[in-house]
Amino acid sequence: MKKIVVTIILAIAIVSLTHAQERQYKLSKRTGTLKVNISGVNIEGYDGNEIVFSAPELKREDRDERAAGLKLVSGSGLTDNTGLNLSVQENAGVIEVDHVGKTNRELITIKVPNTMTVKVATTDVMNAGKSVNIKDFKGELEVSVMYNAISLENVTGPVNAKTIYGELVAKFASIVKGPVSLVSVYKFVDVSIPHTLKANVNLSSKNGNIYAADGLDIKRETPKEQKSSDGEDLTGLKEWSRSSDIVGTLNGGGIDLILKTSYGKIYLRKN
Amino acid sequence: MKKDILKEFVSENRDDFDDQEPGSDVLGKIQLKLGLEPPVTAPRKKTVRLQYWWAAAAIIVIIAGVTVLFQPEKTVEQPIAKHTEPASVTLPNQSEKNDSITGQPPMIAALPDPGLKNAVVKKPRRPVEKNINVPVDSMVTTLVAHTAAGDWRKELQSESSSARLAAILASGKSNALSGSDLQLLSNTMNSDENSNVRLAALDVLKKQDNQEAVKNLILQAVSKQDDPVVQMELLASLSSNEASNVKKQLLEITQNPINIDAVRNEAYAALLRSESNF
Repeated sequence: MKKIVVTIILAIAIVSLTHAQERQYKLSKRTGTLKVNISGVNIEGYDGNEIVFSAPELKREDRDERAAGLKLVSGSGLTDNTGLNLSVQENAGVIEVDHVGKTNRELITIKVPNTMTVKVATTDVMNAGKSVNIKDFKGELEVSVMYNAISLENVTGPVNAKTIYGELVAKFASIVKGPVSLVSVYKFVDVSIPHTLKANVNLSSKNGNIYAADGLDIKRETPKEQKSSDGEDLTGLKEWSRSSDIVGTLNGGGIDLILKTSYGKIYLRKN
Repeated sequence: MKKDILKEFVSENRDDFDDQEPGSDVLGKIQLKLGLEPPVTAPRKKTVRLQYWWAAAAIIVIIAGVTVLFQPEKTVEQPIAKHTEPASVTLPNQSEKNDSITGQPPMIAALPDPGLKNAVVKKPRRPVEKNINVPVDSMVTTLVAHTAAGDWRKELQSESSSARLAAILASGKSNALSGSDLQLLSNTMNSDENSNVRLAALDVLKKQDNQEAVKNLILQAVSKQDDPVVQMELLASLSSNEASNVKKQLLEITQNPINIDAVRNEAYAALLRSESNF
């Protein structure tokens, strides 16, 4: 009986898997910048020569028979030239990726050659729940979003990342290239670095705490003389110069590592 | 359950096991000794089980069939014909730039290419390079020389935000910043397209704050700054005296509905520090 149940479940799983065939669009490109203007996206780096955009197969209820043979157009002047509701345009070495029409429910996955530069920039409020996930990428990264979470995994940098309302999680590969600057305003910044990383660190959390892993050898620089406060401080508001910033060196100093948040916490871990 | 299956398997395949016949009375003797009845096989169950196995096999065959049917890749490969720039100008620069990024680990070594910068104009406020017509290889040598001398000003023109950030951080380490350098930093702080670069520029400027010029630049930035992250840092760094000087601008910030709450809170805090009635 058990066997039968397992067989049936497996069969259903396999059938649904084969059903969820990916839709793909490929573009031969090795160098240059990929600029992604989409709020939620998965980006994976790999050693290859083409950018591969893929989206899961449309569900039956999402398929539109009436639209067969028609082209998606929009007032933005962008046209869907990929079949994935995406407009991909090349402009002087910069490949711009935009949504055309309504955004997809499922995240688009883009595989990018490690030799390229990736920029993700959006301030779209309608897709606040989606996150920017970047994995295994060895090139230069720039992420600037407002409402979305940012997740970087196994990346080498250099990285510039900023989010205002989202969380920021970064796990670095064993080799890290600087500079690295990670900023979140309202949520935490959680960073894992190799324990041997040599860096000049600048950690600042204005209204939150900073947590670091044991054994991270951070040598604090002697802070320069405090600004003299003028007059009595009855409100307590003049304590502005007393910050919890940590400026110093890790393992003797090296690349620049800047972590900042205003209302969140900072977690610094070692891999 | 498990034991049953084994038993059933044996009984189902009894014919295969029965290749050797014992003496006709052996079984009877054993049964007499044990006082047990041999397990009785249910013939009906046997057929049912067989049907399930056939069903499972059929499902697998169907799945295989479906997989093979849907196998053809639905990939579209079309060239994107949207080159707005003549390829002859941009491509050499482009490849040069990226090779330098991937080939040399430290970011500072990834040289900016003014030719490229000119091709993609993102930051109009920056003066356009005069030496676009210089051949690429000679440009490279001059740039190498500049970087060797730690010339961050050149790198600040780079298209790559990481290169610009590295440039700003490098400027923070150099001791003597002239008035024009400070102006450059201030421009970067107010209008760079990347927040992280702007923040770094503000940090460097704040470190120089013994100079009167820097104070003015920072105060000017209060009304100019439009990036919330930098605005917060900037407002938080204002001292009581500085805040008193820019009361009006601070009030405007608190009343502008476009600013996010955190920015307005910082502006209120700065106003409270300013010891004034507002």
